Amino acid sequence: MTPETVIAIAPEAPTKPAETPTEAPSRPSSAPGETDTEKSSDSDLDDEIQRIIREIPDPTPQPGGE
Amino acid sequence: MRRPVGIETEYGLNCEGFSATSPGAPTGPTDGPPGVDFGYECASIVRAVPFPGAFRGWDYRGEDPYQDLRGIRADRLARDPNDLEGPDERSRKLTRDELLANTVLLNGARYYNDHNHPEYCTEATPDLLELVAQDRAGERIVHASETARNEALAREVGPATRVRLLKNNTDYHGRSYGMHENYLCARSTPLDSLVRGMTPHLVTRQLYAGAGKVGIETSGAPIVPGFQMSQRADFFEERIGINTTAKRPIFNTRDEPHASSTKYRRLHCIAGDANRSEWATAMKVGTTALVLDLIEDGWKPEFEFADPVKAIKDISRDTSLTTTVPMTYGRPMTALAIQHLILKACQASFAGRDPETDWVLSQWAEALDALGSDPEKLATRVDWIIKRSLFVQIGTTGDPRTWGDARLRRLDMAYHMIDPRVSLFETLRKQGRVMNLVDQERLDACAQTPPAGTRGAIRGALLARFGPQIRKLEWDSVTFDVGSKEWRLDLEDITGPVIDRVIELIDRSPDLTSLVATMKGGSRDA
Repeated sequence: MTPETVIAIAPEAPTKPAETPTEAPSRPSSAPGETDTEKSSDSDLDDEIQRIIREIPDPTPQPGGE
Repeated sequence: MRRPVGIETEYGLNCEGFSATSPGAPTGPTDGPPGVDFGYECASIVRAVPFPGAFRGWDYRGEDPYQDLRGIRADRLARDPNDLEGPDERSRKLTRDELLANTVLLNGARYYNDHNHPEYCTEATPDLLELVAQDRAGERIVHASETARNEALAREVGPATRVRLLKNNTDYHGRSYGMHENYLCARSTPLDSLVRGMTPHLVTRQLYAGAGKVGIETSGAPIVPGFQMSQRADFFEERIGINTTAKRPIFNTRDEPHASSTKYRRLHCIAGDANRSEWATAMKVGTTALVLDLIEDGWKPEFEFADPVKAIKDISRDTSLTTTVPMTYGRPMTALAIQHLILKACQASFAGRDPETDWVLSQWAEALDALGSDPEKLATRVDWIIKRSLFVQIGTTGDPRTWGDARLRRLDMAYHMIDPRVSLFETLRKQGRVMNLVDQERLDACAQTPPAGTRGAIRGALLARFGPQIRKLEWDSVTFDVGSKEWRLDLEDITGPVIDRVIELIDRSPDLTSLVATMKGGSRDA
């Protein structure tokens, strides 16, 4: 079955900046010290790190990709 | 940005607890975890994605990885002689479609098995923050499929057998997998100008876009203790070329525009790291898009590396940022000096163009200043500095010899895991120690919604309205059954305001036959 092709043609090239409104990245909304996420204590972080080290095994070999 | 940009990420898969007695895995590979059929595992992970409304399948007519921007077609592509091949008894029983597991999501993304890695490709968008959000949404979607697959493995094999997915670029055994950016470029820009203009930036942007790595790798050789800026730099072997899985080039010449080939190229940029930091993703793409703008406007840098392949490695391995690199003409230069020159050219041409550009330029200048004075100021934004600061803080790297500590390599890997329960980066995010650009509401929306004003938005609208009638999909077209006929909606040239008009038509049409009839003003027989 040969498909019939329906073409939607746009006159403008997609490299024109004004066609698609861009939004500037907002001021980082949760940068440390400026956000609703309060920085935890260093001891909390140390505990989490020790837990992760215990839980995570060594890296296993994988196939290469692109 | 002046052009649509997409990000494709091959996720790593750490396979734990697989054994020669796992179902369907009678023999083990020589240097891999026994019993892992990577093709089968990868296909199973992708197919487990719990997102209703997704389309299964892909139309490969627009793909030809042998086509080269230099106007030639490669006879064959290089393969890594040290690649890992596990057993394939299970994957050999799958059909091609089952193995590739192509899935098109309602947000316009493609999720599939690429070289036995789950690959998530965002829809291309000219909105930088939207691209960062779509990339982040991909992490969540991939994690959802990871969770579903592990639940199945727990039932079928046992809870000790599991896969952990990583957003990184190395297995720490000398093999790499990629994060690629795709930039639409004007075909009229000479290829020589692109290569000459892009190479210095691709080699040096790792200063702020490097994801950081414990160890130095060479294919087939044991890992050497150390810490470097980039996950990926170790794996580049050529300046320019079409290969991607071996003999990797800094400038890749694959020619698959996924748009009108007479008007456009797609710069398939493989020389970059998969970032966890949203800021780093934004800067990696935002600065590169500006450099492309410069090149398309005629910029030709007066500096050129004598040996860019050696330079990308030397720069990565010197976190003191003092290494100078030989240039073709003149005195050797540091990566930082080169970045300052590129920034200056972008500032001169584009300052004040629009708020997004000004944000990129100001962050870029701030980052380079900090790198030159106190890199620790970037310890919430730049992945390699976040890692290094943390590892120093926890007292594991006071002595350079400790970089060979296996626990540190484990932590490095954990930084890139996408499971929030074990991810070091997610732990830092939860504790307010890294900068975020995307809020939760936007992230939730991006898992279901394509970027506005893109071809992905049309695919998403078609999937939502006429999903069961879609027969084939690819970036440029959608083919569906209408009665006894097969119809193909060609999206190759669609852009700008026309996209919204097409979506309006899709929404307004009571059925597919009506939609096709309405659009037949631009129809032709294929």
